[in-house]
Amino acid sequence: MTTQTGKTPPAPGEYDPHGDIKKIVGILAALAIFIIILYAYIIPLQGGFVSSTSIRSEDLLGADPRFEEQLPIQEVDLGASGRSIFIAFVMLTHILFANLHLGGAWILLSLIILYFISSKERYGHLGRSMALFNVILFSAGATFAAAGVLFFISLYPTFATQGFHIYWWPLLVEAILFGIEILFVYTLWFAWGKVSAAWHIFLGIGYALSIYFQTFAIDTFVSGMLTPGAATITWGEPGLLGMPWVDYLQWWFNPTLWPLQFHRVAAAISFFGFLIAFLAMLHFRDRTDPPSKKYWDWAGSFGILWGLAGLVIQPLLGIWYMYSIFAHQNQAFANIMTGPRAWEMLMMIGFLSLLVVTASVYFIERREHLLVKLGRHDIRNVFRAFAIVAGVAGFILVQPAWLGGIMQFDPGTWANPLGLMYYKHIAILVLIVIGTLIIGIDLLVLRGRRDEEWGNLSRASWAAALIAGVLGSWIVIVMGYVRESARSPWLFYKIVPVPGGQTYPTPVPPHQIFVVWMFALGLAFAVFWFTSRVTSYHPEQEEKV
Amino acid sequence: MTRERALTYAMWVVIAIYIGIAIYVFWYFGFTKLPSPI
Amino acid sequence: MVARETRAVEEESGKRLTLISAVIIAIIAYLIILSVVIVPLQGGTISSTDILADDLRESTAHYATSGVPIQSVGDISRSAVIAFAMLTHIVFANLHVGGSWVIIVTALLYFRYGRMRYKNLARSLTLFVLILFSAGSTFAAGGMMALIALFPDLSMNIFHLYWWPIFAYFLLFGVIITLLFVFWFAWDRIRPGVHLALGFGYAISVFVQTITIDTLAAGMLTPGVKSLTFTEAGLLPMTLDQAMALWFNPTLWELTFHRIAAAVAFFGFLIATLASIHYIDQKGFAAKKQWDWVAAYGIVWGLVGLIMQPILGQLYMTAIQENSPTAFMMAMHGPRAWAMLMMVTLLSGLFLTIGTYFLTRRDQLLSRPENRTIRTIFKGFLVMTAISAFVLIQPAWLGALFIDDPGAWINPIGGMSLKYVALFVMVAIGAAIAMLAVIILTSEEKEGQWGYLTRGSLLAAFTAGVLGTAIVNVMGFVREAARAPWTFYQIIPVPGGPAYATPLPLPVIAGVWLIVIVLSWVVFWYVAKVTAYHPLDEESV
Repeated sequence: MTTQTGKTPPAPGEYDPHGDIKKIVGILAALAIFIIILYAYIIPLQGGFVSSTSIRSEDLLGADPRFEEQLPIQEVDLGASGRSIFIAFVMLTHILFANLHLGGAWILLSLIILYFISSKERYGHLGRSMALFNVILFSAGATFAAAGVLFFISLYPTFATQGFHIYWWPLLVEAILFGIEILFVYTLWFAWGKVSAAWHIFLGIGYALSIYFQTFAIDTFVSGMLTPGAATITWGEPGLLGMPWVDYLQWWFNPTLWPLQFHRVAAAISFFGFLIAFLAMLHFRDRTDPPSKKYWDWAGSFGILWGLAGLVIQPLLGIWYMYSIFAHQNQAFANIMTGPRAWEMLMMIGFLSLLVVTASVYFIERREHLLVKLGRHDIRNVFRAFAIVAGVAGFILVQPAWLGGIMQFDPGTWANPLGLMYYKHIAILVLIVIGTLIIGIDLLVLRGRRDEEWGNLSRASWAAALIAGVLGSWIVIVMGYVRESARSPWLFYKIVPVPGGQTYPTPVPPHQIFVVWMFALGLAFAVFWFTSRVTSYHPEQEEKV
Repeated sequence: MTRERALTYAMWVVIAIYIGIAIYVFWYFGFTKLPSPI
Repeated sequence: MVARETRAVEEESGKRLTLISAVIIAIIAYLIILSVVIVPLQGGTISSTDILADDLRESTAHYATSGVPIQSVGDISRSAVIAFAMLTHIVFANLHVGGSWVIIVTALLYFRYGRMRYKNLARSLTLFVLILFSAGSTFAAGGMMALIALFPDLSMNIFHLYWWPIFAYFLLFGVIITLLFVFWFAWDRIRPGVHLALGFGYAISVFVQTITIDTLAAGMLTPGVKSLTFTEAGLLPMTLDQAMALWFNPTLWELTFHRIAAAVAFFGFLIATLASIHYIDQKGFAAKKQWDWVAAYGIVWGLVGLIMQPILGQLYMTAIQENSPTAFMMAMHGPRAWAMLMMVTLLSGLFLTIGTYFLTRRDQLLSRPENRTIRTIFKGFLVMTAISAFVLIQPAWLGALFIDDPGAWINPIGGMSLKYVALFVMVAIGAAIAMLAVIILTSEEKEGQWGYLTRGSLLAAFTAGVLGTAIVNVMGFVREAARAPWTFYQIIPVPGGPAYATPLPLPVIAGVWLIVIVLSWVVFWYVAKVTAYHPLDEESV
């Protein structure tokens, strides 16, 4: 029996410190090649460099003139898309910080519960570190949010005055919940270990629910931009309500509110899980003592499982959301699925597939030694099969449905026979099944045995976890861009346009958004890493704050 | 049957149900509701 | 054993509560008289919207409008929401505007003199303000959101006009968070020089950030331009010299320095109050020694800030008089003057409280027979402060809206000349006490005497913090009241006319003040519980 690299297997008790680096190289190469092909080939051939402002120019001519800007447009010295780039940067970065709470609160709650059920110290340690991490980074997230509000009112005053007026009451609720969730998370941190189990759970639930509802409140606005509750904005008299109660309800509880909400929560959980894995891997590299290495190895695995769990739920929520957009804003659906923004969905699904492949590789590598020891070659082969099948599914999923035209059904486009949505639905299902089964196998089949292996992390699995962390975050900020692209060139769909007409085309063009993504990821990860250095619990010495 | 085994079986059932739901959702939205290609 | 000794000492000297109780009762009594008697007799119950209705009607200044109807917030009114958000925000922001300087100087003192108590205090304070950063920014964001939603026309205009300063403000947010967090987390892991540089960087960044936001805050009262015409498109909405006139408006620097001094005073008194609470909480004698010292330290800082205030305040007031004379008239010679009287009551109250704090301390410097002179001097200080206070709280007139209305009764001892003298006396006494206090704090012979605070001194220290917070809240209202019924002076009115009269009437703003003070102090107390460093008995301070 040989290891995957063809060498003789290490003796029992030893492990292969490198693992199969070729798989990692393969993943990274696939990522790079995919992005290159996307930008060099697919985007140009799907009209990806043509702005929605020009494509939908006729629609824009029909926009109500009272929603054009009266104030001269504030430039920001970054070109025609400058203002949009400002918003994109601040909002995408904000989401990376906000998701720490939206997703992290649930994972934290799970750690609290697991700790009190199992009495295993490591759950408590990880939970405590996470609580401090979130407490510290709360300010950072809030700063970007507030900056975003400034950018809205300064750069898009008509949109902002209308929008803040329509959504005043949800925004007030959101602001109040801000205070409540600070109270919960700060109290949770400061009372950690000093109060009863019931209090921990109460505070943990309070934290998770307050941020859930805060997100819900702001999502009334966010979703309403894409699927507004009315055909235009009609104001009534001054007073508590600027328009009839029923109208407000249509605006707030609009058709994509719930799908967006759930989609975001699942995404945040997945994002946070993969982030834990990423940071755990960095700590693993940092620390040299065996207890720390065991702990961080375990933490990485814990994170990957949560990341995967969020990931396998996402496609269901995503297709629900996509259907809502199809039914209630069909043109936007066309933009992102059969039109010039479809490349963004390709990017997203490419990342998703790669994430499942990476997770499979992680488990192949991570559990190799244990599975060999247990004699479970069936599972070893199943994991390998998963990786290969996921790769094939990914290959199907990244197929552009057409090339050579702005819209899929324009005359003269070439229809890709491999690009049928039927195949993609099946491929996504395959990914979901793979992801779910990996979780099941790891949690259930290998339970109780995995503890023996902590600390024996090969370079390959270490790298896989790092990649998962980056991809898990990147996919979040790709999706934010997708929603903006779907909505372009409108701010409130078919009601309030992006002001300035053809002079200020939207969405942010592909190259510029790539730069924004790099900045957002770079900044966020630098902050995450720096903060986790001080918040983490390390077994050999308690970090005092 | 120990509690652990019961828990394990239960979780596998949950996984199976979830996969079933996923298939249904995709069939419902993907094949019947959303437009078919061409 | 230690507790017994402290109790014995206390019983011997009496609790010394009489004096501070008298001061507190006097403050409360006067505030009641002010609200019930003076306010109505100066037209304080009539809104500025009413009084300046002609100005409102005749204004032809141009500004952009949004066309959305007014969003009301029930009976409470929009202004109350803004008041609550902004006053709370300021209480938390001042932790940085003032606290940054106190912290960095304390850290500097540690590195210079090596006394652990400076380090312990600096560390606790750093953690305190770091934790509360989120709270402050939440109210800032909430306030901004409320401003946009409730005052859309104002927001449209000002966020456009002040885009670049406010953008700088937000960039500095990031800088400040970085510097402050690194300052805390790298403590003891980097060289003192680098650490201090970070700390000064933090303080200076907050200073610059205050300037940027004050371009707007001060500009709302003294715009520097006559109307808001957007003549340009592009990076600037108007010509550069107009933008400069707008941003570097006539009260920018006055307001900024006035606020910084206020924040330093506020923070010093905050320390004193929290220290007095810890003093009561902690049972060990080493802890009591430390918290006694901390309270005294805080009071010195409070005094330092406080004695600068009247001078800076006068400079501010003069600038307002020259540039927005109607606002000056309303705030000093008209129906909003009661707010200044309230402020000056709290100011006098603070000086009296501090004097009482020193006088009722049960320590040998003031109670040994050979030090009777000093004790007499302190008593004299207190009496002179009380007399000055009595002068300062005199309403200049009664029975009419404005001081030069026919039929106004002019108070013979209410004139400004007398008040200038009274202010000078108070400031001079304050400076003298501050110098004496510094000597006490740093003299080695004093060391054996920390830990013997009487109840009276404790109550005085506690009161100082509450008064310090209250005075900040009142001043925020003073500026708004001076500006009413405009949001941007004589350019953009508070929309909605008499149905949305400003400023907030006294009962409403008093309610807001109460909520803000209670809320912020609950938070302060709660956070202080976890950030404070408490020495164990064996440790020396």
